[in-house]
Amino acid sequence: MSAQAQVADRRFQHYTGDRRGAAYSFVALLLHSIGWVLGLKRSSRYKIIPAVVLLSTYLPAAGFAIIVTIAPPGTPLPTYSDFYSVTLPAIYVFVALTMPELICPDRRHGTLRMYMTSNLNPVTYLAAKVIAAWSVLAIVTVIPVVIMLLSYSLFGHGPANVGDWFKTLAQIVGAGLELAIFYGTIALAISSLTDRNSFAAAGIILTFVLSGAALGILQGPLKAPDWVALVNVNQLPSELVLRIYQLNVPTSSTAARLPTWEVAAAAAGWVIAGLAVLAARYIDEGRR
Amino acid sequence: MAPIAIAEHVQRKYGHVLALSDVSFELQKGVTGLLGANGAGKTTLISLLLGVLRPDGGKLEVLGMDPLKAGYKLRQRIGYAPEDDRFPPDVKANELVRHFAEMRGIPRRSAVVRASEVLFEVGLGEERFRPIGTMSTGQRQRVKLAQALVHDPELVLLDEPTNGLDPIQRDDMLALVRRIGTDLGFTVLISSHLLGEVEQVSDNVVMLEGGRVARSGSMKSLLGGETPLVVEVVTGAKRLADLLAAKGFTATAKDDLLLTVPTSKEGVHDAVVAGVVELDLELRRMERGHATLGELFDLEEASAR
Repeated sequence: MSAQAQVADRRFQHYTGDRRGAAYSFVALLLHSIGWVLGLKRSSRYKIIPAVVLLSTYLPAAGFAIIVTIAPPGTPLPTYSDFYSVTLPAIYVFVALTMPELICPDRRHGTLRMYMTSNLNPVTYLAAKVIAAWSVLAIVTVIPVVIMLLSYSLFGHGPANVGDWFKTLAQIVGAGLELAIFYGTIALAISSLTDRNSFAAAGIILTFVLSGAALGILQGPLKAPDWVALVNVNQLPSELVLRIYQLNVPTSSTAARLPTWEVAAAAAGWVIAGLAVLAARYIDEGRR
Repeated sequence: MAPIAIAEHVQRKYGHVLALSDVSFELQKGVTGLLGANGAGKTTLISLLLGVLRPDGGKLEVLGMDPLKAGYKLRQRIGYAPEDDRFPPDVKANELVRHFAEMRGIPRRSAVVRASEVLFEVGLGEERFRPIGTMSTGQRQRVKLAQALVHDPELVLLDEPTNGLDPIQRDDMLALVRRIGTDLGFTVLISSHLLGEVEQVSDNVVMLEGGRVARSGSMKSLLGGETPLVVEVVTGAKRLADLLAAKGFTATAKDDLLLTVPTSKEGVHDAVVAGVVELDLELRRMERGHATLGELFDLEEASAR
């Protein structure tokens, strides 16, 4: 027998190691949720939608970056806000198909109750999920545009000086986060009303479609005032993006005629309303 | 020994419906059965112990803390397995258990090791990398149990852990729960609406009826210290009972085949054997029986009538 041989004790051992607090569990849930939505460590069918959407947002950014390398000086190049006109449909699909994944399965599979009896409580659980939603959406609303900025700067089409460069970067991050926060919160609020991903996805798409249609009716035959445009959750965040980039693009949108503070306040109002719906649903749900 | 949990006159309402009324008991170390019909208030009581529900009256203390005020500091010392076992089907057992270890404050590296250890312990060592959706109900119940134990809690609350199991799986699960309470040294509160289950695994019992504690205490004290002698003969149990009565022993014949004789009086075994010989009866068995909780409640109901 070898002198190094030893008997390993395979009996159940009680845990005597480190125990972390609520902050650790909060971060663990946040990272887990981001990975979950992106299909990490999940079967391949859960990776398809995130992969397709990531491709459809990063490809246009890559395309713009390539154009800039071959464009002769003075050629009008796509602006940073043009990125959103090209990719918004893909972002809508991403929002509708992935945001319900963040919260519906926990309610449907009963794991919500297990979270509520862990280090987390309804507030920390919800905060982790909301920040995860914003972070995931920021991957498609912020990073591709930052890639555009870097590419434009490298090939001499970027901002004129360092000050402008940082101002542009702030605009890119601000506009991307605004879209991520707006769509993420509204989508989570709608998802909180059901346990089923498919119902939530349908609800999100219907909300975007119907708010545009309702606005058309209100401002067409019913001659509603301009401020009614603020109910259009489809158009409002894009209008705010233009304001962030300080662009005065002539559009048919009635929201374009409204002052910036009204547009910003309406967007903030929608986000606060979404958070209120989530809080009402989860504080109640966690205590069942 | 200090109780693990103490409830004093606890009350909880849902709107106008009184779910728990004047509930008082002490939860001791070991395995305690929380027995009650569906709607008796078992899940409500578990939620109060976890601090996720606020009592409308009374006082509750778990591991020396107020569940509402202690928050996660108490919850990370409790393991909880809910009644529901519809886990995400594509998640592997070890991933789920590891994740809930992290949710209870175990650092990731330790959580990975603990998840494997505890899955081995509940009998899923070979199955731990399987997606939960491919597992049987019995295996899913074991995963649920594993996630309740992974952070090595001081109190384990199991809400109907045998739901949906066939008789063999149920016996296996109850044996596992019993082992967790005895060999592994966890304090367990297991809720069930089945008397037999509670009797099979519990050292103590809290019986809820219509939101009130109908009875609580150790199984031993509830069943009584004395175990009667059960005598089974081919025929003539009634004649044997009469003969024993004539000799000063109290014997009760249920029918002409079976009689029970209290063992409090000395010489009862010899008297039964002598009686069998004297009456020339055919003895089938003679053993120390024990009353079941069911018989106990039947007797109480009968005496109340």
